[in-house]
Amino acid sequence: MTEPRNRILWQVGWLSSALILAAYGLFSPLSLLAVNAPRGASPVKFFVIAGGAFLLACALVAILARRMTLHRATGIGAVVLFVFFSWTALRALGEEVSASPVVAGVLVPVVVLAVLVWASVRFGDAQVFRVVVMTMGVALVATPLPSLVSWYAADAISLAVPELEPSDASGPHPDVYFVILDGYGRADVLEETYGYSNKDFLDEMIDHGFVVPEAATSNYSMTAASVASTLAMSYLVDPGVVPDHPLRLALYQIIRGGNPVVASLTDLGYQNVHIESGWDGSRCGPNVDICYPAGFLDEASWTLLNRTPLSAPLEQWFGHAFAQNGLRALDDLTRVAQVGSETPRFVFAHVLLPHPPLNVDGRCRVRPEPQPGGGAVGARFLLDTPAWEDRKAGYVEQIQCVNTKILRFLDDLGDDSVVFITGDHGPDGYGQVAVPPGEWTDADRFERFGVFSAYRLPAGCEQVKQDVDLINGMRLLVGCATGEELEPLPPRHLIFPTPDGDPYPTTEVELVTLNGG
Amino acid sequence: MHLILAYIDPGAGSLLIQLLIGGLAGLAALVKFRWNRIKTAFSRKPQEESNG
Repeated sequence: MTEPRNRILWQVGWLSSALILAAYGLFSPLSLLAVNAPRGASPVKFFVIAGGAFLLACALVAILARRMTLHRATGIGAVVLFVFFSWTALRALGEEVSASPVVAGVLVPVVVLAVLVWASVRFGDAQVFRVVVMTMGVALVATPLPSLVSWYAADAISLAVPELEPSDASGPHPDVYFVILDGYGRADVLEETYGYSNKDFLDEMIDHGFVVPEAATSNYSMTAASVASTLAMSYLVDPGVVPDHPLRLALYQIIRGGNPVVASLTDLGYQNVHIESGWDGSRCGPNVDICYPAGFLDEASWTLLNRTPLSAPLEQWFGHAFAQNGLRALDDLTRVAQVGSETPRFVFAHVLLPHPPLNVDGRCRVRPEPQPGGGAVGARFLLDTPAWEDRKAGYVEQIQCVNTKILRFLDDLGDDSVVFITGDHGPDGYGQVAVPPGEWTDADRFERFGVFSAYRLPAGCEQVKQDVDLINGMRLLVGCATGEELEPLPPRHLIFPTPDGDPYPTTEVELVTLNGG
Repeated sequence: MHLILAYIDPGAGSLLIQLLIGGLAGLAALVKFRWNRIKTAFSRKPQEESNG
């Protein structure tokens, strides 16, 4: 065989080895991205993690190929990647065999790895083995592709948002803060559903110059529609609309900074400051002037790494990314207030607390495991179980932590700053987000739309009504800041579906008090 | 009921389906590659009786 032909065969061999490793390094990130792209997840961190694993596998294969054939070394590399990204799935299978965390969490995956490595060494040179490994790799990568293609190939849409006239409001302009405390319920919701009195905190808010409406409501039941519509100051999703990929993407783009609130304030000379939440849906957009990033370990990257052997050390040493990023965003908010600026700033902060999982205690310490019953949303099955009481207690502790952090932020805030702090929707203690609107009870609607809201507006602004909703609250704030007359819109309340299963149409509902009023 | 953990769905169900599809594809490749051998094993005729 000639030298050039040998070289070509050598290169083809390494190329096919690299392709096989790429497939086994990508299958898990791609499947997670396929499920979560509609939830706003960005592919960047998934591919960084996959790329890192791929390079490490290539290094392993290069070392092994000095002692064995390339085919066997590639088989071992593929097996290592496969087990690495399937570790917690194997652990779940192990838990069917044994309740012991050592057996299920370590022994079972290690045994599977050992068997597959042995098979690679024993049969790696056989053509049938290479064909099977290659076929599996192709099938694993191909499975999530249809979902990914449908998401990324969908035509982008633009939602109709109001365009405000350029304002000639004269300065100096105060800083404006818009802080979303995700899932923070209204005081009567906390009392009625959770048996918790938030009076002390609300009294402190009032002492800091805030108005805290007693009957504030959100307009939508889910974050994406609620926050986007508030920033657009209009109802972006009509009743009957079944949200598709282009609509969800358009909502995220509004949240990320492409909205009339930012446009009107930046026209007045405001800097656009954006504190990331750790959820890609509210990450910094292209028109943000100063970004406080979430860091690499956000919820998406944490969830992918949680599929690997790194799951246990991550939980012990870092804690749930949701909790860590929620605390980080609150601390960043205080830093922004401390730093100050000669240029007026619009500061947008989306904080993922007190939204579940319930990993933060009342003193803002992160638990490795969530409070019992507090690991998920949509947990309707917890009702009338002991875990339901644990869940309520865990949510109250997260409220207490958030209260402490917010008061710390207010202590450092300038006295003339305009502030709008609000939940984007209420809690879902009843698990109502997992059921269609027709199954929502009065208690479900009362809880989910009842939000904590607090306003500190400049003197001379129209008074905030006690039953203000988020869209009209923002219209009031921006109208006051820009001097533009923004007529209030009729308050409406709409249940907006999650991006799971067969989404139902957006459904308008009437709100009631628990006494049927 | 779909259980959702915070904002990101851990996708445990879809991962299991993906692994199942991958496994079935591998098995199908194995069967196709070894089809003749499998066919021969199942269609082996009984030995003829020896004469006399």
